[in-house]
Amino acid sequence: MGLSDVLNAARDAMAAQTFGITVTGQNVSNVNTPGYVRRQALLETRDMGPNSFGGVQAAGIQRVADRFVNQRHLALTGQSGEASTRDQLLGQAEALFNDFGGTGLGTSLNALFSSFSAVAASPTDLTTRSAVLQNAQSFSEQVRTASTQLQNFRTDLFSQARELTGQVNAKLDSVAELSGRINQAHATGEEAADLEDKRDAALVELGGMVEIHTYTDGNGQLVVQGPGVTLMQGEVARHLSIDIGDDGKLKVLANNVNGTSSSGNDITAHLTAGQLSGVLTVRDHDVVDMQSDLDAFAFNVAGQINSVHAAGFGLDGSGGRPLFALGGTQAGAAASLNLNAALKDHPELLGASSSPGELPGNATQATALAKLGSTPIAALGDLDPGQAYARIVGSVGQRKADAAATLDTRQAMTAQVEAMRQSISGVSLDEEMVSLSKFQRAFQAASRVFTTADQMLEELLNTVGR
Amino acid sequence: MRIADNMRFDTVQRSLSALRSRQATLTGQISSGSRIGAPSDDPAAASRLTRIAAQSARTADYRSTISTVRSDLELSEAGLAQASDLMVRAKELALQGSNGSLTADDRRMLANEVETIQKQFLSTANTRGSRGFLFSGNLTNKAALDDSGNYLGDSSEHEVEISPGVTTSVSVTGAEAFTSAGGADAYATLSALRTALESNDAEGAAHTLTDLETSRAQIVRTQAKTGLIMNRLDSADEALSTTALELDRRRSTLGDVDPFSALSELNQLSTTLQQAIAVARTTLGTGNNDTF
Repeated sequence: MGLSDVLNAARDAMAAQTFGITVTGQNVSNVNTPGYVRRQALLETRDMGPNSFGGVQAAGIQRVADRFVNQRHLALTGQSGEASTRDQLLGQAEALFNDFGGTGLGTSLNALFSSFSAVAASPTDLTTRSAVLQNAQSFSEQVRTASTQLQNFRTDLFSQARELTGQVNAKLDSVAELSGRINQAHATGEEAADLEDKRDAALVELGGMVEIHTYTDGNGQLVVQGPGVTLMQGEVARHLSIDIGDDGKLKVLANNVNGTSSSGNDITAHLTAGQLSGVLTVRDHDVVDMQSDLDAFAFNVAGQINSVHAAGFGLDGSGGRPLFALGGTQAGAAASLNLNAALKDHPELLGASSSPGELPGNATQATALAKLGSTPIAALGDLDPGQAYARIVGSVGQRKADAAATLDTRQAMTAQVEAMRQSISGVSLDEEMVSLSKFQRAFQAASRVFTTADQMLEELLNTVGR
Repeated sequence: MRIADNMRFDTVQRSLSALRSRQATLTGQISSGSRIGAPSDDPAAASRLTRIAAQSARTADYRSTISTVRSDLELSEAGLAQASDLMVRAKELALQGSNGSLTADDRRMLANEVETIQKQFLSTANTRGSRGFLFSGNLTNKAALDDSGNYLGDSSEHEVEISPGVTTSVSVTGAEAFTSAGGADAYATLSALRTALESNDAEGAAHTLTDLETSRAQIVRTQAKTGLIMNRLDSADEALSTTALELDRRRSTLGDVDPFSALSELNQLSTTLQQAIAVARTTLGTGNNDTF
């Protein structure tokens, strides 16, 4: 052990502290970088066995992250993604049944019954009779529009699901590509922290779209497990594709690894979190339920009105005419509801009278039509038309309110775990300030050691060299 | 707990955005006066409000039906009152005509007056209302009496629903007021009187007195019936107006913003927001400037 060893040790020390300052600088620079995980400089003694001179070396940098917190974050991101998509989409669906903004389906339903009642009071007034036809027309238009818009909404959601699937696939590709580069870096002993940051960020984005969890296999390689299927393993990603089933519902399929799609890998039932699941739930549950509620409402209300109206007689003395053109089945009734074309512009044909012999003053049938407004319909759960519509409004509102409440809860939970993640992996400038001083002091001390050793050496040379 | 820098910003941002969002909701509610802007704001209340809207509409329908048929009833009552006056006058003429001291010329003059009464009677019986001829039953497109006094209408009455589940007849027919179906045929009796007077038949004129009285009583009875129906309509309308008020009160309780509590919450919120901003300023302002 000689003076030159001291010089070597001081050199190593200065190099190591400089490395520490570099890492601190990197942390400070990235304080606001999304997805950045703070680094720690790993310093260790230079191990040279019996010849050790107590040197230090930078062994590399470490990303400070907690795998379990990250897993939890990933899971909650998926749940939040699902809830936020559902909340947003149901908000759009709700607008179709929102009578509180002014005119809506409920308003035109009430107007229709009001006009029946007006005809019951003045059966001979053609203007009053025309009002029934107008109101029946606008009621059927509103029902049709709501039905069409729900159907269009489902079509939109299909496109949205397809788009999301495309994004999922692109993200999977980029995760696979990053994994490849990370594995390569590890193999050659290079630093891969930046790449891992990028991959983690990509995984969070992926987790928002589709439910995933990740683990590291025996070879130290990342495996991305999706809903009921492995989405990525060993740098190979498996793509998702979507299809429409025979029942009109969306199917999410996992392609084979070679890229071909196979109907055997239907993972639809496994989707529980992520935006894709949100789109699916809204499209194939919520909207389907709304459509069938609307169909039942339209079919039964219009059906009742039709049967009473058909029993009535117009001013021409004949009857048997329904007020609405209505399909024979409940399914699709809302989409096909229309005013009976034979009555259009013919208010005199309105079946207001119960007897062809008591025209035109008899309004018994118009009274019966008006009464339907407060007559319970068995097929609608013994609710009258107004109540049945109110139930639809309530259930649509309840869906949206539930989705909003779920979103609130999940967002709060996500925020909490996000805070935990930040607490572990986020950059604290206070901490970096302390590190900076620490490394700076150590550097100063090392340079003092160097100076001292140098002076000693110089003295020695002067003495010996004389 | 280790506090990373971003956590401080996130916390501040989250609490501020929560406050701002509540503030926006309240402002919206106060400016619209309505607590519910969409069904999801309160699904149960939204559903009940929709039901109340339907009930209110029904209630308004009953009331508008009542007001429509009531105006016809008033016309009927006035018509019947006029008809009974005419019958009273006819009775006076019959009494005069049965007086043995009158000459044939006197009776002819009386007969002329009876003819005028007949014309007035026809025009009264053929009064029009909103459905058409008032006294023709349901055959409202036909005059109740033709020029010879034959009844052309039927005996059906106009029935409407005036409150939930209550259907009632809201018209009287010429059949019950003027024809033998209701007791005596008024116009035929007038014709008989006129014939007796024209043929200078004091006995015959006296003979019509009983029928004239029966007709008058029959008309008055029908007139009283219109009064009863109107009373019934009025009390139904009164009950409906109470229902309408009650429905409106319920709608208001469910759907309206209580301006005082909303405003006071808004004020409170503004204070909280100011405090939060002050805290945020302190939180965000300290630390880093000192160290770096």
